[in-house]
Amino acid sequence: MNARWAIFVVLFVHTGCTTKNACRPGGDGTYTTALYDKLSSYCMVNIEAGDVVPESGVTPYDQTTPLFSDYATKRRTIWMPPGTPATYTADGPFDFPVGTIATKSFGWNGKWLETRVLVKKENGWTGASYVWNDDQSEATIQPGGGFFTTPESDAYLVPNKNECIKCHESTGTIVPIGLRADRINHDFAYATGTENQLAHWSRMGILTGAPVPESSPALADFSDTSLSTEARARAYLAANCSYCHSSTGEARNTGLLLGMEVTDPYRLGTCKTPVATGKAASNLSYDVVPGNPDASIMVYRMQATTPSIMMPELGRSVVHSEGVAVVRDWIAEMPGSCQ
Amino acid sequence: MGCGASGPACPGGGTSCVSIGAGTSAAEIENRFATLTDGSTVVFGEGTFAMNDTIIIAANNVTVIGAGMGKTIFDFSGQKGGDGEGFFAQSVQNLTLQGFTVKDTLGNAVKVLGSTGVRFDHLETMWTGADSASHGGYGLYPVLSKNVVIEHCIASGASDSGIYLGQSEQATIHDNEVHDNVAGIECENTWFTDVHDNYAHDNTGGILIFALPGLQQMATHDIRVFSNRIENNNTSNFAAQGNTVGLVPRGTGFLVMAATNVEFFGNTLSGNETGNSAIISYYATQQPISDQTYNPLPDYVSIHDNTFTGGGDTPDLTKKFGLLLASAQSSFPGSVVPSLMWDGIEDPQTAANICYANNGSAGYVDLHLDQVDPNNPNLPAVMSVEPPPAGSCTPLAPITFPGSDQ
Repeated sequence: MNARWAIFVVLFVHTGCTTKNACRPGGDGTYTTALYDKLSSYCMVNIEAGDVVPESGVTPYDQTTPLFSDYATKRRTIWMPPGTPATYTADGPFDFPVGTIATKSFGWNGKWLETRVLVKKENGWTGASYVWNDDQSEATIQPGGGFFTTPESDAYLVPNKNECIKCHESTGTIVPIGLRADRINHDFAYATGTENQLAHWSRMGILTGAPVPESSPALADFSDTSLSTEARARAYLAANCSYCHSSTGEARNTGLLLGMEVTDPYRLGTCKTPVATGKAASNLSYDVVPGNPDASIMVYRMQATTPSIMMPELGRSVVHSEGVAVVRDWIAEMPGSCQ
Repeated sequence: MGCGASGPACPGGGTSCVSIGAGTSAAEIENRFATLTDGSTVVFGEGTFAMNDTIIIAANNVTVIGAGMGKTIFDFSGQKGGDGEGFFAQSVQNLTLQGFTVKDTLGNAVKVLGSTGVRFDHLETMWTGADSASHGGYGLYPVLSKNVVIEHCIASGASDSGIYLGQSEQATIHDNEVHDNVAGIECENTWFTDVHDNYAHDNTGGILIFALPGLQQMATHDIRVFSNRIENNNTSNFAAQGNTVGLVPRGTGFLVMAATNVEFFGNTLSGNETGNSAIISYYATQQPISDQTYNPLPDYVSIHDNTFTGGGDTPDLTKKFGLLLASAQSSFPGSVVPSLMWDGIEDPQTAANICYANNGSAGYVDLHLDQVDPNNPNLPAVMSVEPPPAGSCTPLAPITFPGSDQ
């Protein structure tokens, strides 16, 4: 009895866990050498009453304009080894310490399918997806990925480990996508009350060097109809396309660049002839034709669901009508023509 | 080491080997590639492997070996999701793919992006669907890569290019057969590359050397194209319109667009019905140019010691360039489009510096496209079929790089 009690005290003191979940975020720490087989070993999240609940000491966060994933509900968490905060940067992902664990869980109607884990090791980021069991008590690593049925689709892709790089790689290095100032600079409803996420992270000591939120970049919310169509469409494209369509991303060979920093209409697709597009050009001449969404390859590919034609290439199997609508409206409002 | 009893034997070399025998499921194959470590060799046995998602290689120094073209077959006709590619690798070092067939992918068959040291050897890419417009874009497709060797491969049926080398440098493409693609071999925004001893037949266009605007790596230069057979590339263009290759007339043998330092020699061209060879500027496409960094003019192109037979007798009337040539056909000597064509557009300050020598009895035409009124084209009024002054063409240096042991 004495020995068991002693172990409990050590855990309690070391991690601050409540008695509800006597696990320690990060587990035994060996995940920085090899990813755990079971999601529970990380002690990041569990599922209670149909929702993903962060463990004590693990911070939930969300995105201003999220990546569309077949209308999945997503829950995100971030955790860093205590006393080692991330360092703020205004553009690009923050500089995270070794041992950082980010998770993103995907579910529909209170049933959770997968949780993706991104881990910062000594030599950089690595990640994998964990697929939940039927009773939602545990998720198991699935390096080979696979196709699953959801309420939206019978071909939802849990990415294999190599597919992760298609979105997460920036010229040879795996990077987080949404863990940057502009994507999280907005209010979040914490259990303790609503607070700006940047301010919260700074206050909690997991982010250093951040200015006040008003001085940080903030991506627009593409669903906010009080904003201009252009602002909404650009935010949507930045969140859903620019991880590949940037000068360092997987689609850099196309010359079509869709990040918020891009200002040249040609680079954003206006009257730009397609490159390496093949049949996905569908007899259309330009990525974006001002005033004419139906003549724009960008819209055609966003409306497609056939692999090799649809954009983004990975991450969805159904059309995001709301996203398509915003991009269509933006192009329809655009002045000018291509000839 | 690590080779299962059911799979084929592993050859020497590599620090670890994964052996995959016939009957292995797609899920298991995905799993093996997802957990592949640097330096691995993956050996496939004879058989057809039905895949439903892309096979991605993310490790360095990987060799994938099959039992041979037509023996180890990856059939992607049941592709369910993913990006629609067959094989894909990104940012890897020293990748060798050897001895297998990749069939019926929704998108490109084999794409390698941003990698150094890429070797495709005895690979076959093909599409078998009756509707050729439904075929994927590219067969063998290295892009933004360096030190690339494509050898002894067969690429057919691609709705864009059978072999497409994009935005790459230091490459050799040799001893391949490309047929029934829109473009047989295309080098685009690519530097320092040798294309030789290939057999390009029955494509829409045989070998294309292009520089296009708006890309990450700009310009095409220092390309040697030699000892190739470029024959009867008369297949109707089945590329989606909008793509640059969609503009290529059926019956195009060799086409240089907006490239610099190109040497074309020792090739045999025959029966390309729109025309055996042409050097053109991007202006000939009549596409707008929004990229201010782009030079649309070709220069320093030398075409020497080639053999031309037939061709030029039936220009493609479905494409603007073919129509233009057809309109002047009766004015050409013998009523055939000459085998050596130039669009005649050059920078008057620097000149095009095009050199022709020892091309037998091949005819020549300077189309003077800069003087053609696009609204009322009258080619015979401006073109010139006088042979260019015989020059002595300065050779370019052979391409060598680590791994180019041809």
